[in-house]
Amino acid sequence: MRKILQYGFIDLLRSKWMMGYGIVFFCLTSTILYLIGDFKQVIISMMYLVLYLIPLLSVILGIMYGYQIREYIAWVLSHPVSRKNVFMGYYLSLSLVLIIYFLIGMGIPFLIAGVLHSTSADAFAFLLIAGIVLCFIFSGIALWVVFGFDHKLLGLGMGLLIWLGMAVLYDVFFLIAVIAYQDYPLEIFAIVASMLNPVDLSRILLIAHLDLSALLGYTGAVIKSFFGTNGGLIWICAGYLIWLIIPVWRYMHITSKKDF
Amino acid sequence: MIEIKNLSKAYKKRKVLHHIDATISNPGIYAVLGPNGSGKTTLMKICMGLVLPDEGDVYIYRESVRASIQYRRMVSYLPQIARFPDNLKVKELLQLTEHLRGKAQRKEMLMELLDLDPYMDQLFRNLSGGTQQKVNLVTCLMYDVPLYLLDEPTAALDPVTQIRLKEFIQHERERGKMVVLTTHVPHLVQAIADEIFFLLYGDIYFHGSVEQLIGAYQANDVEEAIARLLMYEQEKVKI
Ligand SMILES: Nc1ncnc2c1ncn2[C@@H]1O[C@H](COP(=O)(O)OP(=O)(O)OP(=O)(O)O)[C@@H](O)[C@H]1O
Ligand SMILES: [Mg+2]
Repeated sequence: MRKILQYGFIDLLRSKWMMGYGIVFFCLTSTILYLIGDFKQVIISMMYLVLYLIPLLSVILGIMYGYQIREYIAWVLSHPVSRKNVFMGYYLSLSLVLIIYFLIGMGIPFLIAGVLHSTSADAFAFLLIAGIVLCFIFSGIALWVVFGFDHKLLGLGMGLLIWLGMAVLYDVFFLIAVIAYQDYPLEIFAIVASMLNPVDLSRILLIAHLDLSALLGYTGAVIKSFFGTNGGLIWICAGYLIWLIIPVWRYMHITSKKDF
Repeated sequence: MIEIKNLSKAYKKRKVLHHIDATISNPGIYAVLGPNGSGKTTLMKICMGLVLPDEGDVYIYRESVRASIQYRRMVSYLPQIARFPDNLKVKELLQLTEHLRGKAQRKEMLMELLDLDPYMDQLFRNLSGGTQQKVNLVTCLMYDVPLYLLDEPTAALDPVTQIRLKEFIQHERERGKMVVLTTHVPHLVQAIADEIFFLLYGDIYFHGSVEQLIGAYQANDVEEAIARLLMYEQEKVKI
């Protein structure tokens, strides 16, 4: 696995697309920091970038890289290397490179601006953690899609659909459910439903720990009262764990049975 | 040494190999023949663990290709169609190969044999088809291993290179190597093959020496024998 990790890592680190991803984060973060200035406000804006942009770009870049790998994977596999190690190696290189460019792109402007000496250092750390977990989750989803769909366009469409579902449609359905079942206790529903969506889990994690709950009125209060506690944190970690495992497990399963 | 035991493979509904048994245990050159789509490439890919059989198994140096990867240290495989990572120069491609499987024993010798030195700094995907095949050959043959699986090694090569490759393969046999190759070139088979496996309808339809094949169809050479074999089969289908 070390060999594939090493090769995939360097290959991706040099990829213009990945660099572009880092630059996008760098420019957006710098601009927002420059325009808004106040760390608290900046972190709220950055939260949306982390929640929506990371899943979107991880899925798209992951899928493009995945189909590139598929072109030549038979050649790699004809050497004395095990399938398990090869595919795990590619997954890890993909997620690690996405994380590195995210950390560089978003971390450097914040560090230069002195976030560590401000009161927002904790909030910043949560932002980074959520971003890192989302990179891992969505690279797993991307590779699962790549080896589940033989056609590149179909795979790309599927990836976008998954993103759309989690980032946009989920909220729409949630709202519909809220309106339709006004008489029932919504808290439990909200808590259970959050498990289904890693983007929502991250949003809850951030809202509960970024001192944003006050801004959000009733929803904020609900989130704070459950997810702000240790039990809530455990719930979120469990949700994350499920989302870290399932896509990668499916991806490893599919590739272990596939003809190349 | 290769032992194929009760091997079956179908892609979706298309049956390609049907309960095949075969053993190759001595050094020599073994030709796997058969019309397009008869399963030659599939058989080789199964040997390399790229395609997974539905039934049966192949044992290479007594290791199951389903269960093990260590045997691949003793095998070098030439794919029919070379697909390498995009955007790599020939030089980088060979370096990557060595990164994956260790130092090659005779890279320079093969580069020279196949006149590849002028192309070292060019991108693989910009090379002509034949030159790509030469690079493909180098990545395979630069390892000094006891068993080679070559899927249409002479495809796209010019006549001079074909002759050099043929001599190289014969030389390897003299050094005690086992070479299994597929080809559609009858006179190559006639010139170098010790044994022939003819795949047809998912089966090993014929197995024997060049002389036995020619004798069995009362032909003058391998080309004629194969033509008769296939014509005979078509007649049978008509009746
Ligand atoms: N990945 C695949 N998916 C579905 N069908 C496949 C796949 N690979 C091969 N086949 C089918 O299996 C059959 C055997 O293919 P194979 O490549 O083994 O033939 P071959 O003997 O090497 O032919 P050729 O002489 O043209 O190289 C063909 O009908 C082919 O269409
Ligand atoms: Mg073939």
